[in-house]
Amino acid sequence: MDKYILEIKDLKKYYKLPRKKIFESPKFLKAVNGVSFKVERGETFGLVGESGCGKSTVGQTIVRLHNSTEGNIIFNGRDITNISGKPLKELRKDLQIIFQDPYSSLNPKKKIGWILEEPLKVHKISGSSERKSRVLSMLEKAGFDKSFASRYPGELSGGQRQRIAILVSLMLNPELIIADEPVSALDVSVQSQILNLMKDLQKDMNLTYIFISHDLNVIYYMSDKIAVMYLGEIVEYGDSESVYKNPKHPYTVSLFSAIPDLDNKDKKRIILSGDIPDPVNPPQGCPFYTRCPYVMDKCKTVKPESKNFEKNHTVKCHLY
Amino acid sequence: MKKNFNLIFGLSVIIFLFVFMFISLFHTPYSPTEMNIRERMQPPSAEHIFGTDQFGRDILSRVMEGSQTAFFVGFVAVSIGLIFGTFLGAVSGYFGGITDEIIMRIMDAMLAFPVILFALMFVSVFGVGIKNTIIAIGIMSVPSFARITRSGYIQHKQFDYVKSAKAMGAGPLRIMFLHILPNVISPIIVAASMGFSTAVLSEAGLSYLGLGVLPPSPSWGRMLNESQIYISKAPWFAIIPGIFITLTVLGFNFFGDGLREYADNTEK
Repeated sequence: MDKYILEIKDLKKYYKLPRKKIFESPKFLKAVNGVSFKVERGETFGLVGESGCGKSTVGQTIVRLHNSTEGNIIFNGRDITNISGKPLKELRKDLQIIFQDPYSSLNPKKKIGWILEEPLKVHKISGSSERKSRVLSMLEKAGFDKSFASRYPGELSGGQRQRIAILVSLMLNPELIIADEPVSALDVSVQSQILNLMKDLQKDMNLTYIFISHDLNVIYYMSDKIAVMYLGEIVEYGDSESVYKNPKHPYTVSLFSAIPDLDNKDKKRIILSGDIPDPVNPPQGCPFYTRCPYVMDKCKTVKPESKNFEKNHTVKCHLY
Repeated sequence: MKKNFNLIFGLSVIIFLFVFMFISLFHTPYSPTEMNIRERMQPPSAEHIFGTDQFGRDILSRVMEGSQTAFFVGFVAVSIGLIFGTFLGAVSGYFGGITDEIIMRIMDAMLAFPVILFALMFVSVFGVGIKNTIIAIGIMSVPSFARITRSGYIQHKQFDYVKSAKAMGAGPLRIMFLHILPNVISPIIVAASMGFSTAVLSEAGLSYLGLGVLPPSPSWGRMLNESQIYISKAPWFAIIPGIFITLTVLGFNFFGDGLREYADNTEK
């Protein structure tokens, strides 16, 4: 078996914007602008960045909720970028996604038991009674009482709902799970519970996660590798220890400087000015130059190539 | 909880009319078609509670028999509208884009066409009779169901539970009717209740014009038509079926409003 379960090559996702004038040439919103990475079997790959940087689009494109504009998605050695129909349906068993908002990801008119059974029914797996017993054993795995099967999502708390949403994604025994900000909508007190459940399940079921979040602490806690995204591109990538302890890219540095630290109150914070640029007209050269404190002339015209540090730590920046 | 007057009132009227119709299936005081010239145009009395018509037929019996027609027309026409309207609206709202454009423009064209005019054309092409009346009324109620269904689907298709169903491999039909439909059904049911009264009214109107139910089988609209020349001599002949039409329309409208209120209160 391959060491890498997933390989993304130069993935691009552009959204066509509605034209304002009839004869205007169409404009594109460049949500994902050339992203490449590899995910090893059994690891957790963290994808971090501020809102609007395209990290969720990457996730939803990998599970083929959107079609990509360019690039390749290779899953288990097979190019799945453009498959459709039956092979795509089969693929969906191995590739699942957990959404951010547990209040909208569970169908409000269906009982928990129905919601959990649905993936099995869709793929016509085993008979009715066996499906029901699998649902119950899954509920127990996550510490739920069996009676939850006959409750509606509206009767559950946010944390309980998110645990159910995780179970839904696991019903088909997937290999890779995209977790799209799975704890961002939850209270801090519940977050750790969800994260630990995810870690336990990863060990039990041999899962690989792509963990998307804007919360650096959560990412660091969960991930083996971290990729930092900015404006549709990965600007820094490396082992999570290396990126967390020794960030290189000015954007990553400023992100990490924003984490409150109780031990070190005099910590220097780097406050970025301005907003993330318009992804319809991304800056030429380095995407970050408009906000970078170390901006040089070169940054404005030349796109930085990725450079290697140590093993497995790459940065796209002209400073190095 | 505040009492839902609309729902209670509407439901009571519907139940009353339904019982009224149900009894007529097994028993009417007189035969609704039997003529009796000696007793023509009698005012309401103990013998004939609602009086008799120009042929001496018992109006109560005829109104009872007529309620069967009304319910039948309402039920079948609404079912046609409901099934096709919901399907077209679901497809239109869920897929969007060019599919949506095509379906909705056809629906718009149909909405712009007067119901009675369409029914007139339909009946003159395919022949007078209750079957064609029902089909015509049913077809014309499709657009309103389609519009209501479509708006629900447009709202719901962007929710994560739909994306999640897609990601697990569910097909579009399964997502549309198993996942989304239960969430958007309540306004459709309200529309069905309102549509019922519209259908009853349309049938009465068409029968009044002589295009609906054929004599001698009684229909409320037909009775109104027959009564108009006797309106000064035998006003009850026109008033009684008029009251029943009004009652049916009112009952289903109130019921629909009540349902909407009920759904709004429980869906929070």
